[in-house]
Order: sequence, then C-alpha cells, then structure tokens
Amino acid sequence: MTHHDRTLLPPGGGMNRRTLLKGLGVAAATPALAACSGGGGGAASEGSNTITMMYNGDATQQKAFKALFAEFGKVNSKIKLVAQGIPAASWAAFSNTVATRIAGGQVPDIIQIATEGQRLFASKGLLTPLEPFIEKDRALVDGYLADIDPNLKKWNTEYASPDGKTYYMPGGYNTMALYAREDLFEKAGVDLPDKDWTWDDFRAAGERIKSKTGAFLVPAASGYFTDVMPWLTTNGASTFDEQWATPTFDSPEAVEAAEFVRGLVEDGLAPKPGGTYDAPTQMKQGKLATLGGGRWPTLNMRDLDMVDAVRIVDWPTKTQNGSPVGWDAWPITKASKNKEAAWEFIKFLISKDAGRFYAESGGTIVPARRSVAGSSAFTDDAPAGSLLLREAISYATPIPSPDRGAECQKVIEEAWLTIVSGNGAAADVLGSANDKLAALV
Amino acid sequence: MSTRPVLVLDDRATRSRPRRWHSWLLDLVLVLIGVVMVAPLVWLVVTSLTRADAAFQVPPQWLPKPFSAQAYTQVQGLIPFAQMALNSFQVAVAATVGSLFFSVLAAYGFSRFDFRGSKVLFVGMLSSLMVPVQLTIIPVFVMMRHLGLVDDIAALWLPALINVFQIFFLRQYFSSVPRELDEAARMDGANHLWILFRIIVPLSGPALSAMAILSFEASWNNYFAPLVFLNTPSHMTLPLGLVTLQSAQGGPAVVVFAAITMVVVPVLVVFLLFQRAFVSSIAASGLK
Amino acid sequence: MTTAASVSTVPRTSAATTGGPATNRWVGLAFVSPALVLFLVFIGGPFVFAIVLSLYSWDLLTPAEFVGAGNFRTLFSDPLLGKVLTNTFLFAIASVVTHVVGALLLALAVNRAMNRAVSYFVRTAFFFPFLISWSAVALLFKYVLDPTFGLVSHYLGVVGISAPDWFTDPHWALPAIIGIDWWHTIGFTFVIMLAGLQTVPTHLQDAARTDGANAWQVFWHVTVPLMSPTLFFATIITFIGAFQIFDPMQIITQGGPDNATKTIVMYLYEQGFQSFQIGYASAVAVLVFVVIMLVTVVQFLLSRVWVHEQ
Repeated sequence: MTHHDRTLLPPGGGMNRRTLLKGLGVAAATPALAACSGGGGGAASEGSNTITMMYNGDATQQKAFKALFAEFGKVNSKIKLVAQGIPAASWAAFSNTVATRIAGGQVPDIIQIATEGQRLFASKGLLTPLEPFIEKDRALVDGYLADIDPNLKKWNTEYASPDGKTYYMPGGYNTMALYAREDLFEKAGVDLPDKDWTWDDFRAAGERIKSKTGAFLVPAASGYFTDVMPWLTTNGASTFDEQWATPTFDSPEAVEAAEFVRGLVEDGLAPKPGGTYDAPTQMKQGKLATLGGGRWPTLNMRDLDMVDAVRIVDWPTKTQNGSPVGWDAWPITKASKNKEAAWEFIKFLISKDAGRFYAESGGTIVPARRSVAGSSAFTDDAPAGSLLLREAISYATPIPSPDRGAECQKVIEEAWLTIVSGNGAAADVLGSANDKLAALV
Repeated sequence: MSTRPVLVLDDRATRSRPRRWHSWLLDLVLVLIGVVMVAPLVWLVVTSLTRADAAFQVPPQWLPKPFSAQAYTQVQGLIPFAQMALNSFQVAVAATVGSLFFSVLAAYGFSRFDFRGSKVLFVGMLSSLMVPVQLTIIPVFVMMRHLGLVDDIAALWLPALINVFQIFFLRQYFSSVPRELDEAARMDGANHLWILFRIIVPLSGPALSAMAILSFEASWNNYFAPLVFLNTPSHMTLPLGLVTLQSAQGGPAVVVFAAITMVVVPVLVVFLLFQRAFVSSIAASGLK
Repeated sequence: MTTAASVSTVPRTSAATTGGPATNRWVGLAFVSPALVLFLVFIGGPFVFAIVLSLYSWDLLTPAEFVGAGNFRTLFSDPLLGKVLTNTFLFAIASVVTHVVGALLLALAVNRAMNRAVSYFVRTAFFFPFLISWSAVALLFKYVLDPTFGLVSHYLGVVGISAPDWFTDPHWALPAIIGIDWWHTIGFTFVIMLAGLQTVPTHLQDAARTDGANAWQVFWHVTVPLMSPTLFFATIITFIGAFQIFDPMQIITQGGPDNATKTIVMYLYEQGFQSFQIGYASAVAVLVFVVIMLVTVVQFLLSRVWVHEQ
C-alpha cells in the first residue's frame, strides 16, 4: 500500500462519472486488448476537456487532495477533472486495474504513482514520454526542478525511466522520522536530542521512560517503509542494492537491526507486534513516547490536539543517518485523448500555489518544492522539527521496489514480523527471506 | 418435502417434571457462554462511543466514558459509507428478487412437467452445487472484463440471478402442493402463470421467505466477489468498504469501531424484529 | 407459529409425482429455460471455460499460451501447496468437529423447559453473530485478540493464563481463526441441530427412559441415531464452507505468519487476482473442485453406513 503518501482519493466522482463509465464500458466491449496499444473507447470524447485521474490508495487522508482538485477547478475552469482513488492491494493489482480500465475503454489521462509502482508502470508501456510537453514549458519546469531536492530529480531518471525517457513529473515525498512526546522524556529525566542520537541512547531513554512512566518507547510493527527501512538505513543497510537487482536483506547490518528491534519488544520497551496498536491514540494517553512516520502523523497530532506536545526528531542511528524515501509522480497515459489538458493539470500540480495550497489544507506529503516545504504553509500548526522531514531526503534511500514489488514487500514484512515477534532467529529468517527475494528479481 | 415445522426458536415445554438443581446450573452455564459470545459486540459498541483519546484502555472499559459520538461523524469522511450501504442494498435486492423470480419459474417447470431430459437437467444443475464459486469466478471475471462491468455492482448481481439451491428447494416445496388445486384451476380456464403465481406461490410463503432471507443475507455479507470485482470506493459494497478503513498504520481505531457498529447494529435490529423468519430460514435449509 | 401452520395446512398428496400431459412438455421447458440460460452463462459455461483456462498460461494482458498440464505440474511441485492444503484441511476438520459437537451440546442444553428470558437471551446470543458479515467480524477480532489491549489476552491474564501472540505466532494463528470462525458461525449449526433435535419424537426417548436407560444411553442410542440425517447434513455443509475459508485470513493475517494461515482459496486469490496468473489460478480452482467433489462423494458413501433412515 501507499505508506508514504496516504493521499488516497476521495470517493468522489459520484453518479455522473459512474453512469458515464458504464456507458463507455459497454460500448467498448470489443476486443479488449486492442486498447492497450492506444485505441479504446475514449473517455475524453465525452467532453474534450474532461480529464480523468486514477491513483492507488486506501480510504484515509483524502481531504487535502479533494481540496486541491477543487482548487484546480477554480483556477482552470475550462478543464473538468475527475479523480478516482483505487485502494488496490498491491501495485501489481493497481496496474492491472488501470490496464483493465484502459482495455475497457475507460482511459485515465493521469495516474498518480508512488515509487513502488513507477518502474512497473513505465515498463508496461502504458505511459507517454513527457519530453514534448516539458520542451513547451521549459521555463516553468526548470523553475520547478531547480526548487526541488536534487536527489528527487536524480532518482526520477534513475529509478523511473527504464529506457532513458522521462515518463514522470516527480511530486511530493515522505521520509521517516520520530514523533516524540516531550513531557514523557522530561518526566523520565532524559534528554531528547533533535539529531545525532544513537540506538543505545534511544534504548537507554526508553528504559528510563518505562521505569518512570510505564510508557512504551516505540511501536515495533513490520511495515516495509515505516518499520523495516528506518532501522536498516540507520545501520547502513537496505533490502536491495542500489540497482534493486540483488537483495541484501540478510546483511550482518540488517540482522543487527532486526535483533535490536526484537530486543526492544523482548524487554517490554515496545508493545507486542502483530496487533492493532493505535499508536497516536496510545501516545495521546501517555502510554507511548515516540512513534515513527513521515508527514502523515502530523494530521493525527492535529486531530488529537497534540501538535505542541510532540517534537519531530531524527531517527536514532547506529552507523549513519538514514531514512527511506518514497515520492509521488505524475505521468500521462499513452492512451489519453486529452494529453494537453492532462499536462495543464500537471503544470498546476507543480506550481508553487498548488504546493502551498495542498500543504495548507492538510496534505500528508512533504511538498516537493523546498521553498514551499520551508514556508509557513508546511510548518504552521505542525510539530516542532517538521523541517527534519524535508532535510532527510538528502541522506535517504529510495524505497527499493523491484517490478514484483508487492511480493517482495510481503516477504520482507513477514520476515520482519517473525523476528520481532520472537518466532525466529534474525539471521535464519532474513537468510531465507533473502533467498525468496532473490527468486523474485 | 417434509411438513415438519421449521420454527425452532420457540420454547418447547417438553417435560413437565419439576426443575432440579442441575437445570439451574445448566442455565447458568448457558448464560455464561452467552455473555462471552456477546461481550465482543458490547465492547465494540461501547468503544465506538468512547472519546478517541480514552478508548482502548487496559483493563477494558464496559461503559463509554467519556462519551463521544464523534467517531461516527468521521466515518463518512473516510469512506462513502452511505453510498456503500446503498450499493449493498441494490445488489442484495437485485440478487434476491431476480433469483427468486427465475427459481420460481424453474421450480414450477421441474415440479409440474416431466419433459424429455428434465431429470438429466435437474440432476446436472443440482450437481453444480459442488462447484465452488472460486472456480467459476475466474471465467466470470474475464466475461465481466469484456462487458466492461468490472468495478460495477452489476458484476455481482448478474451471476447471482441463478441460484441452484433455491430451484432445488422450491421444487421440493412445490411438489408438496397438491395437484388437485392446479387441476381445479385449469378446469376454470386458468393458464400456467396464473396457477403458479396465484395458487402455488401464495401457498409457499414460508419457503419463499426462507429463500429470500438466505439469498439477501449471502449477498449482503459477501466479501470475496466484491473483492475481486470492485475497486473504486464509491462502487464498493459495505463489507469491502469496511475493510478499506483499516490502513497500514493501524488507523483511527475508534472510527473503525464506529463503522463496524454501523454495519452490525442495523442487522441486529432487523434480526430482532424478524427473528423467527431468520431462524426458520436457516433451519429450513437444513431440512430436506 | 404462522410458518409451521401454513406449511401443515398443505396436505401431502400422492398425485405429486404424476407428470403433466404430453402436450405440456414444451411448456415445462419454457418455464425452466430462463434459469437454464442463466445457468449456462454463469455456472455451466464458466465451469467448462475454467477447466480450459487451467491448461493455458495467461496474464489477461498478453495473449494466452497453451501449456497443457504445465500449470498442474507447477502446482504440484510448489512446496507451498502441501502447506496450504494442510492448513485448509486442518481448518476444515477442526471446524467440523468443533461446530458439530459444540452445536449439538448447545442444542441439547437449550432444548428443554427453560425460563423464557434466559432462553431468549441464550438463543439470540448464540445465533446472532452468524448474521454479521465476515469483514466486520474479522476487523473486530483483530482488536479483540490484540496482544496489548485485546479483551481475550487481558481476561486470560486475569485468570492466570498468559495468552500467546495470536496472529504472530505460527502455532496460534490458525487456532485463533478457528476460534473466531466458531464464534461467528456456531449459530448456523446450532439452529440446524435444534431443528433436527425437535424432529426426534419425544416418546421414543421417554420410552427408553422408562426402560431404565440413563441419560447417556438415551442420548447415544436414541437421540443420535435419530438425528443422524441432521448430523450428516451439518458435517457436509460445514466442511464445504470451511474448505473454502478465505475472508478472515485475507483480512486479518494475509496468510501469515510464515504461511500458517494461508488456505487454498487464499492461494488461488493471490495467484489469480494479485499476480494475475489466470491460468494457474484456474488450475488451483480445479483442484479445489476435485477435493470438494471427492469429499462429498466419500461422505455420501459413508452416510449409507451410519445415517439412520427415518
């Protein structure tokens, strides 16, 4: 799933779109596969300025995107945007859904795709190269690319462009940091540093907090992005090498990381994994000192009225600073009948105004533009230290997502859960998981 | 078709012997088991009505303190609950009414006419009860894909129009309706449709309502087929939509509880109102 | 008593088996044909098509490729298949035993003169969970069995039992789901049993009792044989349902930990609708069908031996 954006689209659309799509779907009951190569029913022919957007996501945190799309409608009244969120179980399932829609004549013009799906989609030949559009709006695009983190620009070609062409315009991203409840640290009489604290410092703090307040230090779940990668990257490890070609999940550093987290669970510093631990609520009740996340927990903090009670700090390190990073990207489909209008929408998305608007209206992603992420739109009504999320991209590791990413993720998460719940020795479990990963790439 | 009563929740004062201590003890044990069965549901409702920051305490709380219904207002913001409920309802009604209509026709055909091949047909259809839905759903998925009906609730109710168990059950039932009634009507010049819908159907109320309840319930609670066919939240049925509430991060648990409660409580109300019909429909399915 | 009354106002007649006049043959076919068409489109046709598909390799996007028995060879050489089938059979057998025995005991305990309120509460409590959808039940029990604040772990702790980590311990995940399934569907078996029990003529039990039989002897030699058709039906229906179990695993554990709760239908779903190996998934579906068919046939053969014909 989309751990890092959680932007998932509104149930929007409503009846109009549904009846429209139904009609089109029936009309396109012709050879379904022909459409893949560019044919198909043509959603756009209904009104030449209607564009359709699809993305993968669950039901949470949709408000900001809804608002953003409404804003687009105001700014650009000639183009009608129909956005559709698909809570697919995996990126493979999502890409198949999109391909199915295209085959059935329901052509989305734009697809929002997170890091996990970018290479997969580009390699399926569903997307159109963006160069002609970029050429046309050179100044705007250059201004955008100059404002985003150089890493983001670099990765967009490195990981999402299998044949050297540009298929995506990168969007906002998420990294991982710790949200810490300051009063629990105070009560326990331990320092809460912003950065440069080690796993051992962290653990020692946790022991004091537990003895003084009874609170847990940190949850120990098994989400690939949220729970596995932060511990791996802060020990210089990852699940795959930089090309995402060879798994490195059984490196001694990875084993060490898993054992460290298991130790936290074993010693009662983390709640038992595998349940339904509602971390923000537990933190509100004073039963949890820290929780990991990107931008999205800020919304929980607002809901629970805790923005001032928590501070965002770097993930503690073993050998180096580390964090995973995942980002959204916006491509135009090859089958789109309305590429110009779709490009207008992408231009809107990368504009400063849209960035500010999205951040202000409760977006769950770090804005791509550094200027926006550094502005009050991002830092107001947000925990102290929010800027650390922006800075983390400078040392973060793109979340390794080979083509069979969903299956890889499952292997990784299961192995991690087995270890931290005490059902297997780290070295053995990661060893056999690594073999499974090797078979998947 | 047996004519034994299908009603079973009624008390049966079978023995007139005086109650003895072990009867009381048995009552106690049963009530304890009942309490354990009900406890998760009580906890569900209580937690959903507790303020978010006070929910999920250890030890568990059995009163909503401090009370808050806020979680209920947040459900609709996360999933289009009302639309999902409407979708579920449409699918269940279409599947129930449609399948009953076709089953009644077929059951009449099988019970009143001995045409060539009717036995083979009937046994052939009946043996398909052994075919698991997982086998047929793959080709049906391919079919719906070609019809452009993936992500459309029609993909759920269209295949549900044929219900072999209903045909079997109703045929047995119709066979127990005396032929003399048909023949008398036919003397008066009635045609087959009249006989079926004016004589046999009205006499088959319990069987039809049992089948309707089973069909509605199966459709309303179905998870597998919606999971396969539907992918846009506003097109989803309730059971599927409910699961999308659960997110990777654990999610806002009270809101999840509020949504579950909103699914469970209407079912409870309907059940308490029509308890006898529900129970007899289940019992009926077990009687040959 | 309306249902019972209206059923019994219809006297049975021996005329029910005679056929209609020969001229009416086409009419009979006409009545059956709408259902027949639907049957061919949605069951019969797909059944044949699925078997054909199982001989192909197809991802829905690129053209299908004939592979003969290739899918079955891959299936039977997949080391996961043994695990998945073991899980499925374990679940199904445990489910049958716990449901049939549990429901029979509950039905026996309830089927007597009781205080009205107690009777109403107990019967409703046993039956109601059955009407809730699996998705609501599965979501709820994820919390009920949570190791940190779940009801079960807490109250087991109160009585001095240290609860396992239900969904992360490979030894406990399947039993946990068996338990949830029992909670969810015992009401169905319970009602079936109660209905069956009420078909046992009281006078036979009374007669046995008069002849000096104790409660156990009455139960074992009178009640059980007379209820054997019901027991048989409950066994088959529970087994077939349990063999296709999918929802709770998909929602709670996704087949984990370490594949401990991965059932054959989950495996089918992953292959077919997550990896989109349509041909391979069809092969798995054919296997599910064959197993269900075999078990049904065997159970019917066994029933000749042990089901008491009334």
